[in-house]
Amino acid sequence: MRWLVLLLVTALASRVEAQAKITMSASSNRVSVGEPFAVEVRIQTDGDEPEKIDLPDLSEFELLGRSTSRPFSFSFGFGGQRPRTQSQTVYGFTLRTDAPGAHVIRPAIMTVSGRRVATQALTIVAVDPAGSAGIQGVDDALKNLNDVTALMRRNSNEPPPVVNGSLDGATFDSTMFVRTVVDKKRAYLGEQVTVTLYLYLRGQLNDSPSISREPTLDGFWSHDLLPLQRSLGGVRQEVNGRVFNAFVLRKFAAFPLRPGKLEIGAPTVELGGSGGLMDLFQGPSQPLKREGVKVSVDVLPLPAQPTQGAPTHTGPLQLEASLEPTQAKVGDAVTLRVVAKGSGNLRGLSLPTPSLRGVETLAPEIDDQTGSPLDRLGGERTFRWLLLPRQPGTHVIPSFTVDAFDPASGKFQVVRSNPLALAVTGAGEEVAPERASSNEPTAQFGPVRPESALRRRGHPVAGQGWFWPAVLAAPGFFLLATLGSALRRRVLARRAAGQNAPGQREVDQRLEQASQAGARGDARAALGLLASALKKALELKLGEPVGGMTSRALESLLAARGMEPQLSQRVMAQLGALETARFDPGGQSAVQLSQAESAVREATGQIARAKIREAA
Amino acid sequence: MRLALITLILLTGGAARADSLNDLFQRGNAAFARADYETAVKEYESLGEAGIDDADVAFNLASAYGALGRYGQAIRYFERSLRLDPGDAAARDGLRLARETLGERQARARGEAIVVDRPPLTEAVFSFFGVDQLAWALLITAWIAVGLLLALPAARVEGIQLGIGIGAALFGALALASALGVGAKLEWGKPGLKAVIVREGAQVREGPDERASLLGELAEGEAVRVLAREGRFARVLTGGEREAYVLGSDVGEL
Repeated sequence: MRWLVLLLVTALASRVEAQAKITMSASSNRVSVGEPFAVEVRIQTDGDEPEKIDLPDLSEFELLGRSTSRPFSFSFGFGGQRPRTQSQTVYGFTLRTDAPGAHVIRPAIMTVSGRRVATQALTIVAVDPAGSAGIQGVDDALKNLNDVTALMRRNSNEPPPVVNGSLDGATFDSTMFVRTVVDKKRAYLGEQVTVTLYLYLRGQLNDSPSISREPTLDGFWSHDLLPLQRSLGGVRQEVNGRVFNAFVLRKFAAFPLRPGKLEIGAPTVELGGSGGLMDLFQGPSQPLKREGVKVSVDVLPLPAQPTQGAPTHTGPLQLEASLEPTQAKVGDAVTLRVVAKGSGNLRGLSLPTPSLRGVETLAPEIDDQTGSPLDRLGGERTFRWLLLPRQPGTHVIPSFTVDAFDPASGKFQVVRSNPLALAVTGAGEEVAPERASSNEPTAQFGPVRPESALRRRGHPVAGQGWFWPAVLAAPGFFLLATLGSALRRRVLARRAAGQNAPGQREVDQRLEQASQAGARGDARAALGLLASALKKALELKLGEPVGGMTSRALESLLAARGMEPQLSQRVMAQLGALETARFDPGGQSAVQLSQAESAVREATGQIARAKIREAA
Repeated sequence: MRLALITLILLTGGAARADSLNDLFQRGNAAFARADYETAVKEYESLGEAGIDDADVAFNLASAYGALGRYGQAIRYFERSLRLDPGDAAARDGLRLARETLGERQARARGEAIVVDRPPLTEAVFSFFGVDQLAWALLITAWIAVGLLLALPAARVEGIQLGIGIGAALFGALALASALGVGAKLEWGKPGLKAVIVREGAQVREGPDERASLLGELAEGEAVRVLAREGRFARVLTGGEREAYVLGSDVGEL
């Protein structure tokens, strides 16, 4: 059976005073006898309401269910114009026929503003499963879907009802919110879970909503069930006492790939903020942003399969095998075709390449034809192997076996294709080396090591008791050595300070005497004492007498001992100035004497702190 | 005389044991050569039970598991071989081959697979060094750095001072890098032991009981950490940092 070809027949009314459109579509134009299908008549008007609607006669079908939904809106123009009404009416029918053959559904006709607008007719071809190889188990599976309400819900955009006033899969917001709905919270491995993403909005949808973050589907293989290009039609629904329009943003089939608790991530939807005309006056508007909630699905593992090593599939399945041609000469190419038909994740199905003695089998080509009638993914997966017979005789191609799991009953069904025979004539060829005959990937490991030292299990060096103390001893030793060196320097400095203490007292005494002499007005004595204090300070630091030295010799000595040039120059300048001033003591005021004393005090302090080299 | 007798017994006993272990190894090799990989696995594993933890034995065992199509075990023993001999290019190739073949098998079966399992950066940086090499490097470079630092004040010539300073900084940096490598190799700060799932679809449960609720499945070759073994089950930390239980036979420590 060929699954879903959505037949959309559209009849558009010409513009009268207002727009009116009526369309009729079917979920499939080719169905099996007894298989339910959906027909939808959609009427959209912008302005006047239709005066009359003539729905097609469906009496030759068994009516399994019908629904009508009427989402509508008002819009007001400028001034005293009367409001324009945009309305949409959707009539949904779930039908079934027991009569094989072509069934014509006559056009639906509406009359609006005195004009008649009609759709085109639909032709539904019903095929007898007995005569055309219906999918084993598919009919049974679809019978389980005969819940009319559920079926109609799938055909329309109507979201699932709000149970006891509470919403699942959403965080309620009084203006807009996003809702994720799964058709089952508990599924078997590989069973389809239909996920629908709704946008609930108060008022009309004036901007296109965008999904800024798609729901994550870790652990699922997914397939979109809605076309990329489509118009968003909302339906009214009351939630928490407020009327919302609910729009289907996404609908996809998700197939769990592993058992356990799998999560469908929270989506984020944005609406507006795209920059309309009003933005010119009011500035750019911010989009409304809403985040949905995560929804989890409990995935049950499949029970033990009946055929060890056979591929498994979840869902109804049928296998058909054929050879083209069935007779061939040695070396002629023969096509082995196996078609797997059914519903579920057929893309996950793989069949082993048959291994035939005397026949070379090339790698298969795989072709998928899938669709999603009534939101259930299914279709065909075709495997084509090219067989090259190398030996004459009748080669039997055994059945292909798949363990198909039925989630409804929780049991496996062993599905087999028909065995085939290939008659080969002609002289035999040398048989080509057998190719890898299964889908199991293999690799060449080895060669192995011919010798081994057969080392025993041992502790790593870093795990032995001595290792970390030995490593930490290095920085510890460095710290100790550094501390010891610093300590030694401090002790030496103190010792030197202790040795120089009497000399320093002498320097201080001379400075004090110079101060007293200055106070008495004895400038000559004061200047002499200051020069004497400065030289004493130098002698203390250098450890040798400097009294008899010339200025040049003293300067050389200071440089040789490593005194900082700046300090050395300052000391030499002060000594020179003091000597010069002694020859004109009367010219020194008390203030100048005081300044000279301060400068000498500072210089003696600097000399005491200066670092110099030891005498050679 | 008595001492000589004891020495003789110890020597002959030791030689006999060495011979028997080597016999096991050679029997494993002979089984591998005639494609009897099951027997080869048994022989090599009996060496492990006898306390042998050798890179070559682990390599041969990994090859035998790989030939049997048990790629989870192959990954486990190639990893162990590399841990014991990080410079072994053949083991590295074998590990890559086992991962790729397993990934291909999983992709065919499930439609998705993680083929490349990249190690953390620190593991990748130090992957060519053994933990003992890094430990010795740490010890030696740390002492050299300290020696140079202590020698620095004694140098009178400025050029020599500069050279010693640069040398001390260099060896100090090497010591730090070696310490980082030792930490990465010994997996400081990580709980449990590094392990690999060795059975496809190993069931993950909430408790150490087959009736405990099922949380999911782990793929063969997936890396986990074994926190403890509790009866027939092992408490593991999965890649998603989730604690759970798997059958002890479904997981193998490196």
